[in-house]
Amino acid sequence: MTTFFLAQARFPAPEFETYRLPELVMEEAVFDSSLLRAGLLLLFLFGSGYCFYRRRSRKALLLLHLLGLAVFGFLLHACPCPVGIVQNIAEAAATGAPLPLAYLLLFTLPLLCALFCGRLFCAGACPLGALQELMPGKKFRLPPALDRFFRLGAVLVLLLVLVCTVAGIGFPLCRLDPYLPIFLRSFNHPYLWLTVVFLLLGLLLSRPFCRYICPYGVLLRLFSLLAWKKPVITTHDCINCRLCQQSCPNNAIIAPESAASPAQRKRGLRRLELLLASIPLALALGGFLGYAAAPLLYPLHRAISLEQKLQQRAEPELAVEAFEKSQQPVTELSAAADRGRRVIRTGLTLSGLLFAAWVLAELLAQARRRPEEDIHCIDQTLCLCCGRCYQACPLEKPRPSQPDRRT
Amino acid sequence: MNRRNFLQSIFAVLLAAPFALLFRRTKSALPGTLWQIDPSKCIQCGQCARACILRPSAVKCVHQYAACGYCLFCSGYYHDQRHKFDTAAENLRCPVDAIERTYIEDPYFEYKINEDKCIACGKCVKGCAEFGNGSLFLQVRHNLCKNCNQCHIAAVCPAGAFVRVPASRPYIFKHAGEAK
Amino acid sequence: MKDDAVKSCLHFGQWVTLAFLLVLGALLAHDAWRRTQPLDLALQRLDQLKAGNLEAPALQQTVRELDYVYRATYFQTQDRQAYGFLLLGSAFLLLCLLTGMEHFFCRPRLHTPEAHAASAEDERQQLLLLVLLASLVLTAAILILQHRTAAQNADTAADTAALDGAPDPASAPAPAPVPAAAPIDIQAALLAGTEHWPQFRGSLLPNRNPLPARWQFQRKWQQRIPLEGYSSPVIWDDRIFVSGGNKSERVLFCYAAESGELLWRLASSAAPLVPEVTADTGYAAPTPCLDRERVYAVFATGEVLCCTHTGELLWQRQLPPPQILYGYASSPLLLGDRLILQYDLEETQTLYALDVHSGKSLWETRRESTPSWSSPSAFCQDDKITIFTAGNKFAEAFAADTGQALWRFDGLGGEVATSAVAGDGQFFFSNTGAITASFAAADGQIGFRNDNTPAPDVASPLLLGEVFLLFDSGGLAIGLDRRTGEELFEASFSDGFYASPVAVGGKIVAVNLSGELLLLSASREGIITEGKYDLGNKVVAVPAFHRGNLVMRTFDNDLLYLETQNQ
Repeated sequence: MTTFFLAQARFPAPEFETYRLPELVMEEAVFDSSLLRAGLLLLFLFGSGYCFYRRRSRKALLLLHLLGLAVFGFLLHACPCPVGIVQNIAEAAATGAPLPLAYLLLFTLPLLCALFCGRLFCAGACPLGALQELMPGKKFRLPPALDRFFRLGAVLVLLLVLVCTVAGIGFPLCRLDPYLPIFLRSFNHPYLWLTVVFLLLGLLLSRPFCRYICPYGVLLRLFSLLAWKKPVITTHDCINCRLCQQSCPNNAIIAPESAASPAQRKRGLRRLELLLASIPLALALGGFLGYAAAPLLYPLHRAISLEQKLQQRAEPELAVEAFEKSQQPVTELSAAADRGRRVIRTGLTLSGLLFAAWVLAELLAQARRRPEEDIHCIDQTLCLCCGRCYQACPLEKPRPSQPDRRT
Repeated sequence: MNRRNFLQSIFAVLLAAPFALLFRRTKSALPGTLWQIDPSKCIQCGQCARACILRPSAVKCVHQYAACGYCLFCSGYYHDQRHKFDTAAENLRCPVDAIERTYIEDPYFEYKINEDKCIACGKCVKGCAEFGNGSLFLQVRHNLCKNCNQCHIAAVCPAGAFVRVPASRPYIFKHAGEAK
Repeated sequence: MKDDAVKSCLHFGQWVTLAFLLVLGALLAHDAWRRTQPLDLALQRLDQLKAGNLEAPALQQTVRELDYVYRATYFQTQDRQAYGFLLLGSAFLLLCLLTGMEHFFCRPRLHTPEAHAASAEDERQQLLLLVLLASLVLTAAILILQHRTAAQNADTAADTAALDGAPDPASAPAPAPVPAAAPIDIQAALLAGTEHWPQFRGSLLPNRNPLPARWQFQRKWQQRIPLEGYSSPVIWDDRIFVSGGNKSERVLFCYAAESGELLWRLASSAAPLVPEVTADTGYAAPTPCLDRERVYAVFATGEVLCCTHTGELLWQRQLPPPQILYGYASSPLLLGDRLILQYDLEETQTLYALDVHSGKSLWETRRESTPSWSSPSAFCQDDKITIFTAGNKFAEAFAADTGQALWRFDGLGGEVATSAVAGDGQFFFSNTGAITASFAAADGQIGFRNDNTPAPDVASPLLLGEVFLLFDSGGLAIGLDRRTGEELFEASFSDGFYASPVAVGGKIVAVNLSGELLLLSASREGIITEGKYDLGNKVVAVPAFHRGNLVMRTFDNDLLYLETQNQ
């Protein structure tokens, strides 16, 4: 086979008189912390639920963030985290790769939590989120439309990550994760510049990664869509002072809308008609774009790129050398490459369709009438449970440090 | 129960249903996996020294003494073009002087890897595989490895030599059971 | 007031810490970025230097210095980064502490509601616009990128196609001096070859070159062939062709017979996969062959080259990369308008007939055999040509015009490296571990079979008169009766034979490993050494004849032109 196996026993081991072979002792794997993680995660979910729904206190939440950053981020160095486990789940579902139980727990617990009481995972239990939440600086609020638009990026990332994982390209999210070098204390990350960019962005925007990149956030959004328990800004009667809305850098607060004028209503109706009419077109465009984008992903696939290198008769390259050495038949390689191409092509086409559907759904949902009650309320799918609105609301319970607030 | 609640529960069940399937699948794979190098696929390209997110790399050279020939002129220790068999830098293969050589008895020497210095460049591994017994090989050391969900070396390894191994058998040796 | 003072202090502290964090982070990132590349480069440079002549003290000094600098830099960088991270971490904690203190000890600033709130209706409009704009941009970007990739792929595909089959008519040199597809009369072509030295072991029909007048030689010239190879020289008129190759390039060389001057070289380095070969086979073991107009060379990479005698490439073809133990070594056989290749690989064994005009396959016949290193031979009767191949399992015969299998003999073994010789309707073959026998060309009928005699393992046997002669690598020469296979005599020489002996002018010219050039005559009674000339070089290639003179390729890759020494 390879020189490695051919090379055995060229020189027989000598028979020594006194010397004894040193024992080869290999270190055991360090303690597998994933089950511990799952347990801690459960604790943190309870903790953030308590801080967010019972204490309704931003300070408590900030403390929890700090604790989460220390425990999950620096003690357990973040990896594996539920965000990355999205890929393990996709791989296991597509190829039957082994999936440890702890991974499944880590993935499921926050989602189940979201299904019952909103995105509590984002408040403290996620080290990536905690790091961004604790970043100092002035957090600017983007115009709501722009914010919604950028949030589509996360959906795109989720779909791409799924396609890459299922096609066997690897786990792109873990490779590109901008906060991983911090938790691993590594200066050898190939995308260190991403870390710098996101840290600087974090000084100006609130949780840019969570809102615009995080694919797990998309799932949390979906799961919290019809959550049983919803956060309420104040238990008192809202006076519509808009302070909470201004305090929320994540644009998660829906303001009441004054009744539409007939002209506005007519325009809205026309837009709705237009959107409904363009559904087939949009879906077709999405599918087509996905299909057309497939060749862009091919070079990332090992078998496809290797096959291409072999065909191009390029300079002797390491991958080609390794392939020769493995003596794997070329037919096997081209079968793998074909499979890869097929998966990427269908995957991207489907993704394009789904993405178009998502965009349409979001646009159509905009046409939905806003709550009739005349109060400010939280959109629990976007809320990252930071507690800023509690703090900003003048009707919230008086705090000992501000005895004179409500008078 | 109003209509909204009813719809909500249906939605919840629908969302949660796939996990039940996944739970069934995971039963057999309870313990976690670790990354490891399959020495039979390794081509000693040197990426292990560069691509690991840690520096120095969590990969180190391992010496399987049982397979070593204890050669006087070790091809893992000496460079191909060396002009003398001494310890001058130009004659040695290891760029960080991580191979320690001790005299045992005529004409045998023991070669030991100083793991604090080893940077996993794989030069000695290549030398030993080409001209010797192949008793030197690269392994991921699990006391150093952070066990990233996606190993950064695995992503660039041109030979695809990085595999996930069960945590119960974290190292891949040439002959199973020779090392403890 | 006190609250405000505390707050501004905290703010100041926050900004200072933040600035420190950013500067330190930037410095460390810059340091990491600045060190990584040079460190890798230094390592490469060290490797390059170590490959040089290390006996030079200056080089030794350089290597030692570079080695020291590399190690020092490497470990220093590592230490610096460890400390840097410690500092970064502490600064970050301090920052968190300061921010936390502000939250806990200071009263939050009171806000006044902004006057204007964005209208929901406007938001919808904006979102719709943004989505439309983005979809346009996305469509354009994907289409452009996709178009570019497709164009690239098309380029490489075109390249591949051009290399695979006939050259692209626009880019290939116009084969002006060659009458493109003139039909070739096989008999005439084969007959013409007997005047020259066109292939492995001379020519298919008995060679008509004159023997040297005296068996005493002098070196008229000597040339070092730039690339190694175990193939033998071939000659047409005044041009000598040899091939050589290594992992990176395979080259056909042409030398002038008169002066020894290198006239041209034609390189091929386009093989997609360069297989591993052992040092004693090399990349240029197959001997080139030629006709009046063209030269054909095959290499261990599966590359087949065809060019004119003046070195203009006519076509090039890439056969499947040969994966075979030791390396591909079978020489091509030229039969008029077709080039026969016994292409035995580890997995598949195929007999190719390539059109000499285009390199395209006239036919390909899959042989179910095991790998071998033997070259095909052929027997011509009237217009019917039978090709004989020996493999590790079968001896087989094929029709040259269709590639159809004619007959097959099962029962060969070992590693077949020798080639058969044809004579009066029979193929004579002998390889150690395989068989020593003669086969009728028409139906494969066994003429004789002798399992008791030693057989050669490298040098191919030959026919001379009544005798079928075997030369083995131990230095033994065995004569068998060509009709009965009965052993007539055995003679031993001072060294083994790797180069196949050839029959010229009724005598045998053989050269053994230690470079003794022997002129032998053989009869039923025995073998007589008529001349012996010591070359002083190890030889494994077949000598070639040029107008009564000899051309030899030595093991050390020297091309020797030996002319008869005057009295």
